[in-house]
Amino acid sequence: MRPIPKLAIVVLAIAGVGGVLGADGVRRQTPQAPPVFRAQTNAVSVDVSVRDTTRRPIADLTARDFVVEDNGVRQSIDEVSYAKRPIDVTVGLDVSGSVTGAALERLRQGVAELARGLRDVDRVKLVVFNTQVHRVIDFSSDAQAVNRALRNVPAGGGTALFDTIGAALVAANDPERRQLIVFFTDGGDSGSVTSPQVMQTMAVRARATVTFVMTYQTVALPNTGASMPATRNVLLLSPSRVLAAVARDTGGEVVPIDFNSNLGLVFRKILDDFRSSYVLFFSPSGVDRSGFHTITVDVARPGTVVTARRGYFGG
Amino acid sequence: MTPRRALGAVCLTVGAVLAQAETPQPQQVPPTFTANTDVVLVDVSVRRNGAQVPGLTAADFELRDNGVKQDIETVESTAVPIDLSIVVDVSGNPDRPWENLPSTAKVAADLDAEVRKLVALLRPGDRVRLFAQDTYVQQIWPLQPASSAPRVERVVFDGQSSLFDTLTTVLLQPIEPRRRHVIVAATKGLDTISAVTAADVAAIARHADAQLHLVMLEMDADKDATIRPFQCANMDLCRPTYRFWTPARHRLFVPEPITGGGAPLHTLLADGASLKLGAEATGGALYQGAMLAEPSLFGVFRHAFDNFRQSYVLRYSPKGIARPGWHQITVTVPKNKSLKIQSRTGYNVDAPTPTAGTTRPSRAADAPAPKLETMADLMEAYNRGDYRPVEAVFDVADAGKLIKGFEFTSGMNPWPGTMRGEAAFALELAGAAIFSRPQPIQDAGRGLLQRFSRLIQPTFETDDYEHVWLTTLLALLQGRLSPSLAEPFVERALVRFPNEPRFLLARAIVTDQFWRGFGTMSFGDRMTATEIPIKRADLVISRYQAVAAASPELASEALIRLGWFLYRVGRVDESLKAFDAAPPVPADTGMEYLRHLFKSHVFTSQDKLDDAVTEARTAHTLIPDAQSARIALMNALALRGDATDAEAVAANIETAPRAADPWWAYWLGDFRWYGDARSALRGMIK
Repeated sequence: MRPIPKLAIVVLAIAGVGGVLGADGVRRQTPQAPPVFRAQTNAVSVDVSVRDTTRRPIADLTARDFVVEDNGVRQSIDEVSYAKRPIDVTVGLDVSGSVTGAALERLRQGVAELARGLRDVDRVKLVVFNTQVHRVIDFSSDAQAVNRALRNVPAGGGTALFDTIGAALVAANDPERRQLIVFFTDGGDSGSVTSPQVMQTMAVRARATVTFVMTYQTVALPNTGASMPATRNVLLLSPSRVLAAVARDTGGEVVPIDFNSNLGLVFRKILDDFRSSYVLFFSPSGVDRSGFHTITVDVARPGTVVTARRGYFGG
Repeated sequence: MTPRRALGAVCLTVGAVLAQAETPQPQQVPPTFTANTDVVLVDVSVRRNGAQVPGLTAADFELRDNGVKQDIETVESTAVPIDLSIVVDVSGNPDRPWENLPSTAKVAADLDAEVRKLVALLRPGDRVRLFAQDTYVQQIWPLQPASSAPRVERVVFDGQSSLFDTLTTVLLQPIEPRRRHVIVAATKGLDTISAVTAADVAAIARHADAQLHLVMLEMDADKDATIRPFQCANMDLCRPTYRFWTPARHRLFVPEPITGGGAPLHTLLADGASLKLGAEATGGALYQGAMLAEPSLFGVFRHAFDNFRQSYVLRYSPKGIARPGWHQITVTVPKNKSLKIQSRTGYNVDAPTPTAGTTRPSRAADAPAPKLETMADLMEAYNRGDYRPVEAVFDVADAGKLIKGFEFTSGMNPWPGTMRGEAAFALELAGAAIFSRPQPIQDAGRGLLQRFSRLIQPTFETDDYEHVWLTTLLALLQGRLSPSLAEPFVERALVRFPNEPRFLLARAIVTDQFWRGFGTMSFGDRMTATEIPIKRADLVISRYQAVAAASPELASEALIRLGWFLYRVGRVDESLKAFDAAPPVPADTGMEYLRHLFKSHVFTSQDKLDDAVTEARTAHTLIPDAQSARIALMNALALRGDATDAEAVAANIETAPRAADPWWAYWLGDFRWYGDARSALRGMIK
């Protein structure tokens, strides 16, 4: 894997993972961003998770092991990076009426644990939402600051989940950093003005990987003492088609959890899984630049499970 | 005797009626009086050995109002026209196992014959109306000149007995100035289904501007009482088969069998005694029919009518006493203490309701706030207008327990003479309950609302109070976002006010609430927009269209809501047409905001991103701090490829302080007016 700066990469605009449009598309750089690359070519970066059948990460792959097709046309991989690029984690917490009291406190503890698991180069941003979207703390590496911010989280109200996902997707756009968005929610939306279709389209065009941590509860069945999801909660366990599609299209997943689960461990595992992923860079060739590009990524090694986003929007 | 407003047309209280002489006088009222203060009229009956005493003048009477002697300005007699309310008892015998009932025609004909005789006693200028009490209060005819009283063609009979409800209804009938309201009611002495109690009736009577004469038909009651033992002994019919359930048995009297034959005497029970006191407080009486030469309505009325016609009407302008509150009246004829004087015992004047621009006197700063520890405390505070402490209790207390306490104290509240205060209080209490989380408390709230939505109904025609109460209720229920809870109340409101546009809009909104949002969660009671059955979607659409057609005032809101619904079910082109068809509502910035916000989202869905940005910016301009316009703008910019601008908007969304957003209130419908409606309701309690 070569250092990324050797590539003249311009990662642009909204279609972060893939969005490659042109130099004039760059209008703003965050203060910490390195100097602008002078692009002669357009490059696409793709986050790829490769695991064995026991879900353990496989970390010894090279560019030769990957097969990437863009709209069905095999591409030449310019660069492979593994677990090195800094990560921005956006955590979205549902603090509506459905997540209050002890549940909210457990949530705070979980996020604090996640913040402690970050490397120095990584950052975390915390957004809470009910009817309103509210950023509690902007991207920060200061775990203590995150912990402090969590003590002042309001609770109650409706749930504008789709609106919040949209804002998180748009805001998670630093081209030099990998973007992970983790939403903790019961899956309900009662207050968004953004339609699910629009939100899904925005997710496809964004750079970030989106994972949903969704809760369900278990109940003890009478007589047997066995424990299994209650009927109502079986339904809660089923993620909405929209959220499942967003997770799938962005290379993320839906993680159902019992609310008694250790949220800290859950969040840490999501972060570790994301970190132990490859980033593939390629310069599309043989395909029309505009429109949506379907990407397929495969690994020429038996017994591997490959997860990657399904495409990017070329403008 | 009836204190009543002499001039002017607005009653101040249920009972006593005062007049402001400065009030423009109705044309039919002779300009006799020129007093500058309130005027009170009091009916007084003066008898010697049972016979009316004629020829008395103002100088003969002494009248004290709250103990202060008053100057009697005039004394009139027999000149005031009468409004007569006749109440007949056509309820059935709940104990009889079997009975061969007469036909409706026969019952109606007998009733008509009796009423004809009674109406014949009235004079030109008098008016009459006829009620029949059965399971429901029936008004056979409304108030009309006696000469034009129609025949009794039909009557529903043989049901439960709603005596107390019927008397309450009749006592609360509005009275015109310078007319006297006389009620003559017959009863077989049993109430089985009323919502109010005999004590309530008595309390209402004390404050009512009517004279109540009540006759007990003991012989009919005795006959009813003997049927069952007779049929049991002779026909082997011992179990009542007539009704499976009788809600209650409130008897006014019981017979005392007399050995050796003869008609039994009858002893008043507590309910009978209450009604007797209530009737006497009005200047009327309770008669035991067996003691009358003519134990019938006609006999009672002739007896009462004679007294009434020969009574005096004293007129005075209260001086030297505080105006608000209960006024105790005593009337005497000092020169002859052997005369029997009968008049009503007093009247009430409510404190003026604070109006805009005035403030209620606040409690002294160092005075401790009264503790609201019991339901009686809460109701008293509510009655005083101390609403905030009551609301604070409702916010934190167990509303289920409060409702139990409220129902337990029924009839002991500060509003015995009117349902208004109790109904307003009940609505607010039920509001706290339906917003509670435990289902049993919600159910208790719903039950309370169901009960009072019936109790607040005037018997025959709707009135302003019922309208405001229902308006407040529907606003509250829309805010609850539970369409299955709200739907029956909306339908009931529309039965009472079929063409009320705001109720029609409430119905459309509640139907829409079943699929609020985009319904993308496929669990619970939510459904995806595309899963809405076509018929149900058409129902929502037709209901919004009906509002738009019925009310220019609400057309804009209805069409904008219709447009958003059409968008959510995928009928995008029709959606835009609806938004554009909605008349401008410059006075309602929130509604204009929603129009542009929604259009922005529709354009975004059509990939018309320039138009979407324009509409979002327009909405943002209208209400700059609202989040939803920023969301719309961010979406459109992001999809248009303006990543940096979109990112800046996203950052703004995440960091902006919380501010009012019309979108957040969208699904709450008329709940945004709940505060106004509640204030109006509170203002009508008096």
